[in-house]
Amino acid sequence: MNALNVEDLLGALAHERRDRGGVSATSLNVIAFVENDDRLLQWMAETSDAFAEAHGFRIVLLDGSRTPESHSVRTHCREMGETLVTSLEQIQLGVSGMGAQELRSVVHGLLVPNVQNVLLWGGSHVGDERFSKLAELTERVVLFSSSSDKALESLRELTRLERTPLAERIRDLAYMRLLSWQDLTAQFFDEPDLIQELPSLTAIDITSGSDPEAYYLAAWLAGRLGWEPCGDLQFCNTAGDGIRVNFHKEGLPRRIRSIRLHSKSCTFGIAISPDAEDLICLTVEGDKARPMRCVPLHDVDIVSLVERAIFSNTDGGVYLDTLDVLRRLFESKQA
Amino acid sequence: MTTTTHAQTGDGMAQVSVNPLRAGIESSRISDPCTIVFFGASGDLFKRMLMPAIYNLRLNDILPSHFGLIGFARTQYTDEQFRDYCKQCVNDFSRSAPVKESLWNDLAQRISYISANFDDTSHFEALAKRLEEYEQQFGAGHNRLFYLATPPSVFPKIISQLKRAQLDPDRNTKGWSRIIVEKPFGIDLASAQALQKEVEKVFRESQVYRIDHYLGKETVQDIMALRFANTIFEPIWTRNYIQSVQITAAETLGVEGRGGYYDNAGALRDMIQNHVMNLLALVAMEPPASSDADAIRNEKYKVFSAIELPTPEQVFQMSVRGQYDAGTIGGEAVPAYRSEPDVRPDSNTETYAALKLNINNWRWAGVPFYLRSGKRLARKVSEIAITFYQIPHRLFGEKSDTIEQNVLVIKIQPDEGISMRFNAKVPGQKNHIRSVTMDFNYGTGFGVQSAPAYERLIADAMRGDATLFTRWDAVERAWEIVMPVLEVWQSIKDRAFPNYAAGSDGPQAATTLNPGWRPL
Repeated sequence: MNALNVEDLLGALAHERRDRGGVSATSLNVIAFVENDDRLLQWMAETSDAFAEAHGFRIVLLDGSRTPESHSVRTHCREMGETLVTSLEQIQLGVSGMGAQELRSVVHGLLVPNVQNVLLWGGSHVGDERFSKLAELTERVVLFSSSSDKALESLRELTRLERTPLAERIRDLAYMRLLSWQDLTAQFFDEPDLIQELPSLTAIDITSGSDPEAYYLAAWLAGRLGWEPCGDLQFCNTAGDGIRVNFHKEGLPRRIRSIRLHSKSCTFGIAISPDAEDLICLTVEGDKARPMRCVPLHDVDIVSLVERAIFSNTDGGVYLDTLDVLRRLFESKQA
Repeated sequence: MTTTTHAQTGDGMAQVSVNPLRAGIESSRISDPCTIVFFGASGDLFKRMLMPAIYNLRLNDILPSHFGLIGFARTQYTDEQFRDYCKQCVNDFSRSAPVKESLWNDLAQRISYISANFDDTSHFEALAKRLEEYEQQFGAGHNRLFYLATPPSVFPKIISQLKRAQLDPDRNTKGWSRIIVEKPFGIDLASAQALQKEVEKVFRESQVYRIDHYLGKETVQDIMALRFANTIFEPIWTRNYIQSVQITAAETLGVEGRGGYYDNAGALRDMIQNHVMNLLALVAMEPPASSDADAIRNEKYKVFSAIELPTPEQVFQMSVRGQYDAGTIGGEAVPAYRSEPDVRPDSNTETYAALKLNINNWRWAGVPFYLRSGKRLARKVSEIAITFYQIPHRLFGEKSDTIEQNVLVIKIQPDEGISMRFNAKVPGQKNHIRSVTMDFNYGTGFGVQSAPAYERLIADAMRGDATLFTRWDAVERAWEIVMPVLEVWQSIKDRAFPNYAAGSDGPQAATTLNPGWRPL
């Protein structure tokens, strides 16, 4: 791919835009990289249309499995008042065989200048030089660590970025999807009487359909409560007492089914209701038992999740703490 | 690295004082547990608005974790019957209907009902007992929100009964007690002051939430964001650039079975004194020092206090009233106001009111604020239109071109959004100029539809955020502003009534007040 090809692509895009709508509302560039995963590639193309209902953006969809001869452009317009507005400009481009530096250069030429750039990385691993080169162009990096067959391996690789400047720009959908579960876990301990149980937690059981979510959740708890990894799937609290972590695999991939936190005198349970998949029930058993309470499960759809990943502000370092705990947990496991 | 709050105890176990799991988790959920008591729970407002709002708040996980609801009204219901009624309300009127059974079952067990006579103190004592039970059963933490959704005539009675049953805030030392008062707050200045006296006997101002559901609408809240979260508007938001401000709240509906109420109210009381005046305050206020409720409400009050009160002689120069005749709306013939059920056949009540107000301060001196509201008009629309001055010198455009004035329109309903009209060159060899409109629509701009106003307002009252509620000084001043008009209109019968056809833009006389009304 040379500069002329980039110009050709942009020219084709401009031509398409003129045919479809007079005004462009682009305020965001999304660089999406996919390799050996046609399903994800197709999903990204389809999701773009849904995303364009709310945001005007240009997506440069990079297909790592096809050569540069394979390319196309398209636009999506919507009516706003009396005006037809181009809300999506999509450039799909095969980049197989392209070196990292060349890829960076080509992509740079295809971006709308002076707007926010985001990388959606659907490649196989973040150690890939193409990942770091594309990440250089962007202010935000969105990962799907739980989507690959080697999800735990991806997560382990991701933790190695924890101490790099890039880490602050990363949003992993596998972690972001946990928000409702984190919030529900926190809810127990909003109650002054129950918060005193936190230092005496002795074990955690997490049931999920895939590994990264369970690891993330355990590491998040450990990071918040000041626990240190002290063995294979074991943490130690500030008093030196061990907290055993048990993972159980059940249910759909990328979904948590239940969490149980055991303290010396209580068990705190959060679980999908057996009666309804869209309801989560919270229970406190033991000395400080509470009546069961059920709330709707806010399983955020993937488009909203990506939107949140792109636009959400910092969480004050909580994610980085979690990555740090995970890294040390993996290291202690290896040791 | 974030930190965890621990303190070491004698036994070596750490004591935690702040929930460390909360860090970095944004939640809209209301933190204080509470029980909400709806007085008038068998009425129309509860059925159409309040119960659907409660359900949606639960559905979106905004209600506090520990929550209870008690209905209190004259209709005879058992708890079970009332729960079924509530479920029907949600199914009939919620934007999230039908109810999710599993969620409903959880919510329903927190709902109960007291069949009550508002004159009978023992029924309020039963309420006190029920609240105690709820606080035990659901951990509602002695936080109580009383919602007056009854006809206004019953407000004083309920408030005094709360005190008699020891449900006043002073007796509640373990939590908070707040009261939401539905509009109208009085039917004139004297009655509003009388009602306020009753309220003050039991509640402090900080515990009173006077609801005006217009203020809960997303675009209304966005007026302040538009003005104070952008730098481009505020410098031109003055008499130097703005020629006039028009605020319209037009309805196509008639009195819809509320003829008895409306015939004693009229457009001035029903819409202008509260909804429209609140919109005026948001447009005209100075930037508040903070987003604190009182900082904002102070500025709103200052606007009202700068509005010139008309003398009786000036009333007909600054106001127009109208009453609709039979006509056609959406292809359907509709009757005249005086033919509506429960309306007096010789009624002098206005179904249309338009005012021209002047705000005597440095920012607005000389800028007319035109307010209008009416029923059975050509189109349902609520909006604020800010018209800027004509350009001082014409450089562009062919002679035949009209150079329109810039108009910024804040659309409140039915579409929520903002539009700006400006002039642009028509592509081509000639220098034709044409006005174009730049539209921002909440639905498409953010990809989400705004939640109904009641959801936001009930949640805010639970949170203790009074920003979107009206403070007494503003209510009183708004009454002072409309009273001269009201008194003249009441004392002089308008012999021209009915003076506009249903489905029209209102009475012809309105154009003498403001020839530049935007067409409906």
